[in-house]
Amino acid sequence: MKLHYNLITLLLLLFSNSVFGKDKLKYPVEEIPKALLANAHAVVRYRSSATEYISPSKMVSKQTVAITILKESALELSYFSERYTKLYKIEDIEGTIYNSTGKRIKRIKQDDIIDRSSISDASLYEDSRVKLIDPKCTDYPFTVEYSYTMKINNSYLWPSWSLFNGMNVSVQESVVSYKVPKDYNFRYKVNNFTQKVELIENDNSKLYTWVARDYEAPTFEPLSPPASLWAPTIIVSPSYFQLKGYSGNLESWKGFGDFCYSLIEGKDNIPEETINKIGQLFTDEMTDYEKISKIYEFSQKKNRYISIQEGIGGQQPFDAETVDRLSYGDCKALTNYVMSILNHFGYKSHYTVVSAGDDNITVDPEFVADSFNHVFLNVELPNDTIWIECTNSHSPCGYISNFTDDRNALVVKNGGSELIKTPSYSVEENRQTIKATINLDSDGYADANVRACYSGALYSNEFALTILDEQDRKKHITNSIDIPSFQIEKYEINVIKKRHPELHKTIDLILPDFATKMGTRLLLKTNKVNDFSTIPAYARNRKTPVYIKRNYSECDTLIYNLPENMQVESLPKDVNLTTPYGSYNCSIKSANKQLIVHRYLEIKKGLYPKDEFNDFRKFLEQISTADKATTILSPKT
Amino acid sequence: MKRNFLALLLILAATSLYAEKAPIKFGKVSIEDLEMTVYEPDTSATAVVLCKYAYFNANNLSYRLVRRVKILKKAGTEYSEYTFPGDEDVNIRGRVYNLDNGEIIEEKLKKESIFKEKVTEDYYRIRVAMPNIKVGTVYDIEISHTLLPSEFSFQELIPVKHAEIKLEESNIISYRKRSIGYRRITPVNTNTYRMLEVPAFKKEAYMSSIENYMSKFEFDILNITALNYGIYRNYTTSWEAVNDRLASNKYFGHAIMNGSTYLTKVKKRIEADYTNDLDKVKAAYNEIKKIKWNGMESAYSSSSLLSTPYKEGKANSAEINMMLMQLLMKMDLTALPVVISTRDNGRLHRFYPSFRKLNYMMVWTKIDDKEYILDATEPFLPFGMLPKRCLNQHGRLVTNKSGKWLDLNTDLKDKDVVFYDLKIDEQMALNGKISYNRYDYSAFNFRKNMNEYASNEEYINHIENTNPGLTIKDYSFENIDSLNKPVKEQYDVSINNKVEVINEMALINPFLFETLEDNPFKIEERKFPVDFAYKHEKYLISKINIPKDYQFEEIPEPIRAVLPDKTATVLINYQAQGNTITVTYRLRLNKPVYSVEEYQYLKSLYAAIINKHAEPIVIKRAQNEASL
Repeated sequence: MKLHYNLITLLLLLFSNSVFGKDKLKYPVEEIPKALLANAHAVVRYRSSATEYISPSKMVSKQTVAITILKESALELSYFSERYTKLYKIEDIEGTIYNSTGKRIKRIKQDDIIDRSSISDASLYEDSRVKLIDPKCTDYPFTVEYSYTMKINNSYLWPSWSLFNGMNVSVQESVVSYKVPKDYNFRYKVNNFTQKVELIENDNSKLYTWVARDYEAPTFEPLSPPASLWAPTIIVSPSYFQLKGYSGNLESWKGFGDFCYSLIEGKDNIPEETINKIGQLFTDEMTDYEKISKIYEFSQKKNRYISIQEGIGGQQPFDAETVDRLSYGDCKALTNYVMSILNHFGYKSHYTVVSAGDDNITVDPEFVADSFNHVFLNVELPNDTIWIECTNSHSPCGYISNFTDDRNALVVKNGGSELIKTPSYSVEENRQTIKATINLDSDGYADANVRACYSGALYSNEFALTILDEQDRKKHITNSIDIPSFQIEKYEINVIKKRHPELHKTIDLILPDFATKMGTRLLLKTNKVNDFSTIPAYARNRKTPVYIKRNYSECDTLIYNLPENMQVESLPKDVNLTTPYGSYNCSIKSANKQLIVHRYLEIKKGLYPKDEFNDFRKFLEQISTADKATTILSPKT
Repeated sequence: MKRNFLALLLILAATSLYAEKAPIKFGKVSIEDLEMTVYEPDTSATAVVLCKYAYFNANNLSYRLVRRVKILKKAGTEYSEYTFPGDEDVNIRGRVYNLDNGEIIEEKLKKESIFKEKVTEDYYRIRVAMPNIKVGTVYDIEISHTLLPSEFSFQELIPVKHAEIKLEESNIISYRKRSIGYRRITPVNTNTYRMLEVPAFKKEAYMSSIENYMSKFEFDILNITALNYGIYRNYTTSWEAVNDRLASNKYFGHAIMNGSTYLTKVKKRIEADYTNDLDKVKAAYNEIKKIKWNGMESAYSSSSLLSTPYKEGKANSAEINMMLMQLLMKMDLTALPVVISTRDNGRLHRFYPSFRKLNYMMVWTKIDDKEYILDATEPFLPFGMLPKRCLNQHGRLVTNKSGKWLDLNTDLKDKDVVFYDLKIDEQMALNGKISYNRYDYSAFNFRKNMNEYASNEEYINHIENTNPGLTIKDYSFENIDSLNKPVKEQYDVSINNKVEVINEMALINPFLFETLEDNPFKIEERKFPVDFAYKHEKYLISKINIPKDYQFEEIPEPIRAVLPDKTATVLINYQAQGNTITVTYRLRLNKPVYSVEEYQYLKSLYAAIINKHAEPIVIKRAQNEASL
């Protein structure tokens, strides 16, 4: 009887396998290794990326990805969202949804695929579009599997590969391959990844394959460097390539520069009339810097920045004549415009491509690849180099902000392009200086005159204040003051516009409850004007190094005029901290009815070992504690 | 006599001029406009709309908008780019004027500066960048098309000097306009409306949606009988008509009335378990809450059959609540739909019906003469409570008669009761117990937040990491799953950085983690009401025991502050006995919305709390008698 029963089950099993073979379970959640679930909001179950170089103007890349969504916070990863432009198409999209046991519950139909424009908020126009699918599934956990083909009409854009799919996403298995003709110099760089390449060569082709398994989900860590510094990644970049009628070779930075040069060549058709107008602005006494400034200011006044990304991957500027006619352009067009004028007047200036943004580690000098997103200008003088940001309407000539400071940029020169590092600001340059006089009375009421000065990269952050209308400006200043109860009497902003500019902000404040009255005593937190209080969470088992992007310093001198009838009962002790990450000194002296506070804080840029994170945090905690120290005043006896 | 006659003539001429003449003519820019360097009513404005004028011709159904903008500062040049819906049927003209040595240079907007964006197969947008925009430029842009747009705004992000719209009426079209915003739109005559010197619109904190505040007209087309439109189209005419339209809608009335056999099993189970009607409603509510909400807010189902989303176990907000309604009706319990506009979507206007403003549907029921409004989208929401997004003044009950308004305001609060029972040890660390009782919205938010963490441990880790100096030695949670009860949290803690020692003295802040440090209302003036959505209450009892060899040196004065009509109160009290001090702090915000007039009171109430929270208790080591 027992046997009989088992036989039936077996028969049933066989039966179900044969008839419902298509419905065999795929990606059941229980098959995910335990270690991959820790910290994971989603798990990439399988990814494959197979790219084939067919001809200089044709590449095909087949992509498959299956991802299990474990919770709502990863819901967006269940969407299919692939951008495309005139340089490549997304075709043959297929999608299937599986439930947690691995049973297929839905197949994506062609009607479910939305095709829409994809213009970023920062742009007026772009010719990029996006294919979108929302599987409308929220029954966690579930798995979506998508596959599609990228048809690339050039050999410039190579799909790269990474195990990093965002924070809290693990990877179970990922396979990446590239097939190229035997004589093609396939260029790649493997970062943070030890897996060896498997190379299969035959008579006419080479196939490079990497397989990776069981990558545990990374989690967000404060002060962590960009993912490119720690995530397992393979970057692929062309050697010889063709791109919409242009061609080039990225085997060297010079080759990359030659390609960029070919895109801008002959676009310097600046109208004669404009040249004449500018010529009239010069006088014989002017230095080269002054003349270059004049040209830059001319463009700042005349033109405005609008992002319009069309044509060759948004890489080619429209010519100088068009900018002159419309008085607007994107970074490429405005840079080309200013460059054309400068060159006309004999100033050697170069179109420069850069990876702009707050992060300054994005370009790997060892491996030539296009990781750039912005264009600005390099002016070569006999004893000086001037960097000009042509999209900015307000900056002084030669000012570099945290958008382009301290990084490798490709300076494009006809036949001699090179990677050059942009200037980095020192601790002294990136400085906030505060000088304040505070008159305190015995009720705890105070009035204060606070003068702050910002220089270096800090200048551009503060500059934003000056272009607001009065109402918004006051709102910003009000919100930037971190004192519970205050009233702004008066404020003034002065910009010292020079090559190394400064912004001065003077604020007169009334602080009705600045010191706290405790019976007959007054409790005074002397550093309330500028105290440090943002301490990142304590780290257990930190995985990434500590990345401090910029040098920074604060230098405060505060003078308190004490009420006649009060004296100092107790002063906080001097604090002097010195660490590899920076230093902090604070001293409060009492003299002649005055308290004089000297506070200095310095943070040094760098990439510090992960094990030192808690030491750095401790440094910040000590600063915070010192800044909150209380001085006690009591009535004179 | 003669003089008077002349004056009369002038007045007549003036009125007829106003009746006939548009305040702006495309392309007719004056030298004064070009020479202007500052807009007096707002001298810091970066750009100003000198005039915007729209005219709707009800006979040929054409709509034309002319806008004239003056650029005053470089930062204002960004107000010369436009994106708006439309394709071939929209006509755009543009002219740019600049002064060059006293001479007006005019330039046309050309095709090269106009981009057509095909957003999707059947939706297009036009993107325009005006050329040659500099400081001092004046430009005109004209946009014309057939039929009314969805709105005409009198106010913009930059000041508007003159805004006017002329809206004709005729028998081939009827439409409704709703005025939105806090500024009055004045009619100049029967069909012309004007606003002068409208300040730039500024967003403020604690606002429900800017849609509710910006001064504008919203249009709803009711019907069109024009021949070339072929068919007679009937649109919204009244809230009663909205009611009828919903009832007969495939994805509303029909979806609700369609078969509900898929719920038979559930119905039987509930009826077997409960006899009391209210219990049945509660059971039905809990049952439907098991269906997962897909995050989509909607007033309509996505198909006319609800059985499919039910079986899939997930649905949009309307589908979930329609299932609930069907289940209630199946058990012969009263159930009707309530349609609303959520907080982000702007408010429903009582007098100006709008079909397209509805974006959410809930269920109304009445048991033993008590009314309930239910929303089953949130698993952590207790019976009878609505999510914050739904608390938008009022909603419309859809009935088989004419419907009626329902008040959506709630008496439920965001309420916390907190106890500290702590002892300061020799190392000046605070040790002891902290407990929280969270009610209603506070409990809901807590449960929802907790659910984001993989485990209780992960949550505790997060609390420790974000509060330097805090070590949680033990903890317990109660009623996490009993939604109708307050959440109770208990922590056994040690805190090593909250007592500041200065020589023989030490400063203690008894409010610890409840200390208010930042005033949410820093800005001096407020133009729109402060909308918290619901009432708030915080009650803290902090008991602190100090070391034997210390005594209390200074204890802050108690405070009590009350807003007019007790709309908000705060009370902070200190009581010391022996080596123990008990501090009580109670804050009540008794209204969900505070008016602009009440803003100053609210601001000073918060300032008073912050000041009091900054005052520490001072303790001092007792003098050793031998040394005296």
